[in-house]
Amino acid sequence: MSKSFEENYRAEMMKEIPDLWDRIEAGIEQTTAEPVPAEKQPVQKQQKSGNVRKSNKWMKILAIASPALAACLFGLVMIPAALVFMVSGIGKDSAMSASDSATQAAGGEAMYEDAEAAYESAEMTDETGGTENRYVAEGNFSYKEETMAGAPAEDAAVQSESETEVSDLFGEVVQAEIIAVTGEEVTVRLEDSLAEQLMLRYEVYPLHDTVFVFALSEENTFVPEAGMYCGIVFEEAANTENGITVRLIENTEQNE
Amino acid sequence: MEQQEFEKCIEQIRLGNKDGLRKIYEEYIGYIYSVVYGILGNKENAEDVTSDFFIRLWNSASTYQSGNAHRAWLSTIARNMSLDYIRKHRREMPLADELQDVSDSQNVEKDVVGEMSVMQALSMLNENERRIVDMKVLGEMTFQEIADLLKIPLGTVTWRYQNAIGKLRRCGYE
Repeated sequence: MSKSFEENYRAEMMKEIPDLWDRIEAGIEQTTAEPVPAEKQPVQKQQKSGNVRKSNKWMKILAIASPALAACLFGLVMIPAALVFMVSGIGKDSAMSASDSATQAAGGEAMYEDAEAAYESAEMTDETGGTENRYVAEGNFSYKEETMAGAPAEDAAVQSESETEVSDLFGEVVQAEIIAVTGEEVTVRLEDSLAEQLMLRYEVYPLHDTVFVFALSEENTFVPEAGMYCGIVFEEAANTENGITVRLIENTEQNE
Repeated sequence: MEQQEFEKCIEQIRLGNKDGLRKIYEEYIGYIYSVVYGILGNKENAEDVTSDFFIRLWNSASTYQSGNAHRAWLSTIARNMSLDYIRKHRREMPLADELQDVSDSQNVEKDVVGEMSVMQALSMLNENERRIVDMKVLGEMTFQEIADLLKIPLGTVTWRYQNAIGKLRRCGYE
């Protein structure tokens, strides 16, 4: 477009600018009067370190769970974890022994100690084995955690996997639902307000009915909530009343 | 507005001082409104989104990272909000292909029409062309973004844009 046209057009537009200040001021007063919801607090303030979160998680487990139920669930948790370790070929021995001890345990504190040790072992193994494995392993453990809280086994599996993995990915900021974990992609569903935060911070926006959307400024941005470099993809098709689905795609090159 | 001054305004906003917002408003209302209007193509909607933009700026000033090019930051938010608005109100807003090519029947003469005001020149464009020119010039969108938004092929967007340029040239805009 020729420069003169653009300049003239913009200048013409400036003549038609409405005065919106009163409206804006009223809007501000309205929002100021309303208390800020917890999820709209700045993200950094709500983040906690991974260690604190993990310790809280286990404390919660110990407080709530009953030993007998835990024994059953522990088996359910450890067997898939052991399979993952065997597939990865790293930490195979430790995973197997953890699985064995899990299935043999009858309940009580000893079992929790084993579980925790195996969890740590799995986590260490997965740090060398790749992100995908880490997600799977942590998902399995979250399954245990939630089921022990008293939910029916299958429902709890789905529900808890989502909640805990989101917690692992986003700290306690995003209490959202994980839709899927596929390879290097983690799909979570965010509430609108949280999606807006991400959009503002990482300059990402959704386009209607498109599966492929993009980050405006950078394809790959370090996302502290996820602890890794990601491309953030808003999947408009999954936008529902529950919020917007966001897919984080790990950039393995940068994370290495 | 200089970067430093802008950051000062943001700091004021963070402290709850409306003067900071007022300064940004006075400086950028025209720019933001143009960007929003360019994308939405409707005055009422543009006013709504522009108002919301400044309210959101007030609420989310803390997300601004010092040192960023603030104009681009503002523009990005405005664009995001406009696109979001379209996404949420898609059913109420006509797609580009649903707009009628009213001006096509008027047939701009092939020869140079002569000097015209911008608005007169723009009236020579049909709705589809006008929308694309607005998005490109005022909304600062790329052709690919426009194609995605309007759900039409990229080639169609560039073709219509070239047509529009041709018409504007004949109106004396080089």
